[in-house]
Amino acid sequence: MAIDDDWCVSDVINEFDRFGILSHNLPNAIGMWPNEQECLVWSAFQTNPNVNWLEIGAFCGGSAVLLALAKQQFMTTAQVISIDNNFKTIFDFNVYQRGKFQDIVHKIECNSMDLRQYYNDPVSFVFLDGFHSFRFVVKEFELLLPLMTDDCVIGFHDISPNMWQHSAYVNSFSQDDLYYWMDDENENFRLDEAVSYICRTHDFHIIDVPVRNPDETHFQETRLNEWKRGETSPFNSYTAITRNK
Amino acid sequence: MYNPMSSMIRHAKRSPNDKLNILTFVSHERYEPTLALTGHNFFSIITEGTKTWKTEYSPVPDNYTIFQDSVPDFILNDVDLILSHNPFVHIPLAHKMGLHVPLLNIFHTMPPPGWNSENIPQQYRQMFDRCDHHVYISDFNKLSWGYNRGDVILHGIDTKLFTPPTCGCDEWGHSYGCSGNPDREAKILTVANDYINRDWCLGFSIWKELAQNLPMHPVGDTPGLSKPTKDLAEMIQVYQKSLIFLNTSTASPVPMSLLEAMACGCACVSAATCLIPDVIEHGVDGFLCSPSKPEQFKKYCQQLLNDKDMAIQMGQKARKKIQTMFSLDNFIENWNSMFRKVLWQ
Repeated sequence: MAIDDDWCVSDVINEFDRFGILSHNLPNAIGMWPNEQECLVWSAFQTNPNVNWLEIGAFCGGSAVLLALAKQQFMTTAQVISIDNNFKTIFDFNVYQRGKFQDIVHKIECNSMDLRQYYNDPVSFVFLDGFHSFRFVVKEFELLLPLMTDDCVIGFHDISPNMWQHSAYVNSFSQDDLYYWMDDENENFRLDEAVSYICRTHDFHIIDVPVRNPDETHFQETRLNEWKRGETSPFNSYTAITRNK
Repeated sequence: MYNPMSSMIRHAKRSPNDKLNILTFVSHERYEPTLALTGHNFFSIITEGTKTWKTEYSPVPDNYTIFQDSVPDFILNDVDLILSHNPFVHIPLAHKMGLHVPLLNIFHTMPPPGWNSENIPQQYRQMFDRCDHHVYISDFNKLSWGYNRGDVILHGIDTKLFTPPTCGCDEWGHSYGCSGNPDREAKILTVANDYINRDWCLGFSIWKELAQNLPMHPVGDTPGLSKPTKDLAEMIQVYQKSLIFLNTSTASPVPMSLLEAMACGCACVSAATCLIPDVIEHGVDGFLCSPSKPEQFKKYCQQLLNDKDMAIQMGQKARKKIQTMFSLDNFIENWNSMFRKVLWQ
């Protein structure tokens, strides 16, 4: 399926372009390149819109606005749940003051490890973009797993940029590595490994998310010419997974 | 010689209804005359690093006196407060003068490229901290700086000055079919100075792409492209004659020219940046476009050129928006409250 054929995605992206989001001072503005924004919206559209969508990592509210605009396409009371341990004023400006998404976006300020104390409803789409460590991503996934619908799609940001190309992605790492990462409290950016580990241990697979401009790069803005762990990727770095049927 | 005691005496004697003596620096020829409508006395200095007043942009108001290099001591002794329009230039100048009066700073612009609003460099934070209060021209502008002190005062537009053209008909004429809108030229007006060199923030590339096959009317001091109008009256006439106004600026918190064009009833096509998405409701009182997609600007300009009725209606709604959102009365009241707050609270 090509994104161009999906009028819904284009519609949301056009609305987002007109939204004039107040961005953070990063080269990719809201923290996601246009390609990644399209992938996020496309992934959300693959799920049941009548069930809540949830994101971990709110930042300046760019993804919350995108998901709210996407949710608005449907006649539904289901919400976008935004979780962060420290919401910024910019988030409130974008989501509530400018976007007026009071009825759509519900924010929960908590540590993601404690989210089940605050939220226990079903979710059909999850976007994990919080603390970028193997341990956190795996734990967040496992905490949310009981709430996920059968068709639930889980999106990840800041994975290695070519991961989306390889649906048969296999990352070989040892049991020792695994023990180490599961204990590592640092933001180690072992996200490819986390996604791979989740797929292998929970019977999920990577979705082939269509990208409008797969060759698009952002070398100038990032001053990078290749992807480096822990730095903003100059390429598309979004991937999504869903259950094996 | 300036006598600090005089400032103390003046402070003790001053009553809230007195006209204030405000020391400032030439900065914005369109904004400052509106501010002068508060009725206070403004004394402005042109010195190293500050701008000069260009009368072609706006005449100097009667209660706004400009001094070259220095202000006479008898005025300094009677100053109530200092108003900075540029934190990087005017705050240091104000401190150098050593007056014992409050300092108020207004952030007109977005922060410079690369500004880290999460972690403002210490030397700038200290400089901003030396002001008694700050004013921002929009919430967007305030959040972008990341310096949380201060209040927002939206622009005020004099909608009796910036007004659509009159057709010359009376009510009787209107009842016989005159729409009240004399013919506007089917051209796309842009107002920008140094447009080409400031492509990075004014979006000249977008203009250039549209100019390939659309009728453009650039105005402003841009060598090789356009000239400014000779005065404000001519500028207003240009707005009144234009059907469409195009704003490609990406870094102006609230472009004055866009608000003026809307007040004059132009249908506006604008980049969706800064405060503008809060001003223009897409498809209702203007069109919004992504600055990275020139094809959107082209599409909406073409649509308005092809449908003049739509352009006229959009322009009428745009004027109403300016009348309510950027009311001159509110602007004056908000500024007077701000002066009272700084001086008495």
